[in-house]
Amino acid sequence: MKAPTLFSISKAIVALLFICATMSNLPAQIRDIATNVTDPFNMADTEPSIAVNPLNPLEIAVVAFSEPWSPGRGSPVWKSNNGGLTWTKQFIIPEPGAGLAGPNDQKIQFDQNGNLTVAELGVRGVRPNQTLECYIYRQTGTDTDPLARGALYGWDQPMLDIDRNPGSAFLGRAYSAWRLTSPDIANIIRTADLGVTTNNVVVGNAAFPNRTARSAIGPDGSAYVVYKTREGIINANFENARFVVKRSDDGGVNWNALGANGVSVHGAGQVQTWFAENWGNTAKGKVGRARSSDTWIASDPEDGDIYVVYCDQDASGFGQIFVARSTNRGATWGPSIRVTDGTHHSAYPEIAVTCNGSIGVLYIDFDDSGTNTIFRHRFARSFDDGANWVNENLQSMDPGPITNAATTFLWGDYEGLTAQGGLFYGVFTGESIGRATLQLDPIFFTRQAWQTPIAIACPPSVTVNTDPNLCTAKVNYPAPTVTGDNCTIQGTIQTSGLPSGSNFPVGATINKFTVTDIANVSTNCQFTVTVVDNQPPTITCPPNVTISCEASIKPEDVGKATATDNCSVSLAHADVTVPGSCTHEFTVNRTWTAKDGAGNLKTCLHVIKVEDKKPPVITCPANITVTCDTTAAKTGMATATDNCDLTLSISRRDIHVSGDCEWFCITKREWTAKDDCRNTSKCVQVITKDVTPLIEKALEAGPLKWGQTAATVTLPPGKGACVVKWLPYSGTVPKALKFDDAVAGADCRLMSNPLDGSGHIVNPLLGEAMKLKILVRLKPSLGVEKVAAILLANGCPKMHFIVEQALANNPDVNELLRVTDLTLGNVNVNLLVPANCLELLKVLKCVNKGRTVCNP
Amino acid sequence: MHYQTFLRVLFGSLVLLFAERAFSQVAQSKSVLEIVSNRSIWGKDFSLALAQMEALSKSDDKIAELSFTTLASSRRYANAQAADASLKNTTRVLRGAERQDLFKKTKKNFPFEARLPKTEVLKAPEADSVLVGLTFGKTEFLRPDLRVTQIEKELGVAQRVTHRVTEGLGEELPLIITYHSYADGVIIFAESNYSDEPRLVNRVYFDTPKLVTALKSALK
Repeated sequence: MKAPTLFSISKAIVALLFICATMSNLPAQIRDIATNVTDPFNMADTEPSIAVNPLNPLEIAVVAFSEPWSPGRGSPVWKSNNGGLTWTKQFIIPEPGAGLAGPNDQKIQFDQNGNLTVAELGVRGVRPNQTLECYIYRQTGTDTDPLARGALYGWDQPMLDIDRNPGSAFLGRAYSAWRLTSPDIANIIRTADLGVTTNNVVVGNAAFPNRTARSAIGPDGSAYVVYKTREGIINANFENARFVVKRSDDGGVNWNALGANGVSVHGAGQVQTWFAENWGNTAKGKVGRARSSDTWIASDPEDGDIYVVYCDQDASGFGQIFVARSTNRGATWGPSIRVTDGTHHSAYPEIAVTCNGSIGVLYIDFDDSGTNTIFRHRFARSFDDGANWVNENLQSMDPGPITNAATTFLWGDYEGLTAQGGLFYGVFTGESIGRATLQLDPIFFTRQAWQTPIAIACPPSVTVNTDPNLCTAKVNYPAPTVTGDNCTIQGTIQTSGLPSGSNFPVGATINKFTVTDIANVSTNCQFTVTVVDNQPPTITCPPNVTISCEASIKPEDVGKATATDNCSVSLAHADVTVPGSCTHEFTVNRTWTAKDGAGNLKTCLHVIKVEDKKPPVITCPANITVTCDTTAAKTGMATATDNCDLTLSISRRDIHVSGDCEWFCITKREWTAKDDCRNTSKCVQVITKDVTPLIEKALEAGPLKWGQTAATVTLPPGKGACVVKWLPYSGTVPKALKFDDAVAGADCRLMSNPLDGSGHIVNPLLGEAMKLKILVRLKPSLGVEKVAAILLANGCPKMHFIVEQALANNPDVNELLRVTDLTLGNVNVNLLVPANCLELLKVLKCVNKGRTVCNP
Repeated sequence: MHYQTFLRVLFGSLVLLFAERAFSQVAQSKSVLEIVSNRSIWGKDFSLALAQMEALSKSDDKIAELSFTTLASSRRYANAQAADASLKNTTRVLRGAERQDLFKKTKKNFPFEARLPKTEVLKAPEADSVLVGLTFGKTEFLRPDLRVTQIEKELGVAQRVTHRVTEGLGEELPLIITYHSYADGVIIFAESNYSDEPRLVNRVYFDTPKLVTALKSALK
């Protein structure tokens, strides 16, 4: 047994595509079962029958006269596991016995468990000593294992039906109507074990020869058989006949539920049905035979209505197809309805009923109005219990050029039609499609059992708010409304969206529903559930903060806002900077915004005050003692840094502390650094100016001496420091030196020559002379400069004539110093007159004016 | 079907076989010589059978029937007694067959070991009649696995395909003999749908006078 869920998804998909392409509302499309590969010998494949696995409608089986069995190999069953898209040929019907040629007639079915079952006819011996043997084969292994043969029964043309109705008392019972040729009468066997054991009942009417015995099973398990009674030849084509139905309600033991003689489906009168050795126009091509090709029976699987299709030559003069219906299990029959249109001869009807009560009839007609007879396989459907018919041509065929089409046996006596669910499945022997060699092949078709496509309507779209504090909304909606026959609907599935009662997310959720009919044609509808989030987020800003200008204002450093929302929320901030009183002081007004997915906003303000209160850090150059140059270039520059300001301004000012800076002084240099926010820092550098080294340099040429004879002052080398103690002089009255030969000693005392309290020379004449002599030592050229020129250059008046008289003519500086020494040494008394001495002092001052030891 | 009726059908069918009333396909133009020379078709002893054709053309049945192991006249008889006249006639015409032109040319062109045939009444393949056949001991005139599809591959589609449908006792699949005619009907391959093997060629018919004429002019 094959489980219905075992067929592969891929095959199902392929089949779906095929069926979708072929079914819908387009005319039935057909497919050649055989291919050049599966049918390498180009067999004729006549008299086909078809079965569909009730547990898996994609599994379809067909038997035809496709290849004979032989002692070494079985005859084939065509199988499709994908709804008829592709077919394989499985040689699983073994030769029933040695010497039995065949298959010679056959009929195929699946049982209620999905097992394959085949009724077969073998012919033993040669004419006229032939015997005909029927067997039922059943599946006992996998679907590719050889079938197991049952017991011998019957004679000719075995049919096969199996009770697959779950509620039937005879579930699984098989019936095989067959024909005994001598006498010519319909029989039917029953078997509860698929042919292992059989019991036969003569079911026909012995008063007339019988033909065309066919059976059907009602949904309640009642069994039906139809056969015709041949009641007199009319001509080479037609005979009088009745089509009689009998019913068994006891599993085929007795067939008298409708009376011993059964019920004629067309009333008491005879009909004129086919009995033709040459069905067609022999003058215009090949013909078929139509002797047992004129009736079929089927049951509505839902309501148990019984339908019989049969042939009757009516007033049109053509053999036509009629359908009779019984709504009371065959007891009485309604008026027969003609399926065909009265324009062509028609025969070979098979009938099937789908789950929704649609009726299908497969039949053949021919058109011999042209040069050649064209045979047409046609399929008619009724969607109103047989009252009206929709008729379509499946395939037209001229058998003339088809070399394996043998006249009088073009397709055999019957062909295959069945229904499973809401689909018709058929097979007929037709003209090959796409084969390398034109030939007869088994042609498969399927057709839907409904006219109006199924429809589906979805509920209207809705918009709702989120549930409180949730990002979803629980939404209940009504199920889509599907219209169509239940049995034709394969199922309704939701292909997108969420089921009713789900928590729908914010936004639009498209809910799609697809209803698929059993032909795998789908119809969709959709509606939208829109959930709106109106709940704004909450937000909390960090506390306002004041930070120094060098600190970071980044959120991660000064704090971030926090936010919550019923759905997702995102935070963002925007800064507005308000300038402060200086460059590095300002206020950042940071606005935090919380935004949820629906665009709901909430803001808060975070104030960040930035200030610059830190002074620069300044570093002074080291304290220094210099001889002459006190500029910063010599004494060094202060350096400064600041927390924020990279372009500090640095200034300095000198504060004289002590001394005379021509000789010796101490200066405090105050350095100041100031940032943009006026924060300042200061440092002090102590600069000592001491010209002693220059004086010592002047003394390198020997001691310096001022005055004459016993009134002298001598400055020996190494005592230059005394000069910077002595000078500047502090007195205003020039005088000669005291009569001492004073030599500067360790304490720089000058004997009786007075020094003031600070150690300065009091005598200005000595002071000026001392300076000038040192200058000449440092700059000897000064000594030969003309005094008059110096006076003039320095803007001084000419020297007093008293002074001039004491000097040599046009004296130079050395001359001036000579006379000055005489004056200091009390030798030139004339100039010691105070007034005159002042004049001399003036000259000396003027010569020294603007000169220093640093710049003699 | 009654026995006599069956024989009438059979004989009628053979007449039809060589008549014009048939459903033809596109003609192929393989000559008789090309067909008999094709080693993919014939068994290893075919030349032996071919060499007898001139003699058989002089018998009262001009149609020779070649099966895998037997060369025979195509005509069926109800029993040995009915076939006796034909047996004698066939025996007579076969005398001195080896001296006939086609025999010599066949032996020259398609060498074979000459064997004297035995003429006898044989049971027909249908087992419901007899025929007059020539037996040479163990022979293989046709390839045992020769199928119509192989014939069509070698010779092309037959010029004419006809069927003989023989109904059985019921509505079962009738016996259908399909005839594939080549060289304007001089050589006809036949298959039966009752064969165990699909499309197996189980006999070949020769129109002996036309065959002899064609081969005598073609062979040197």
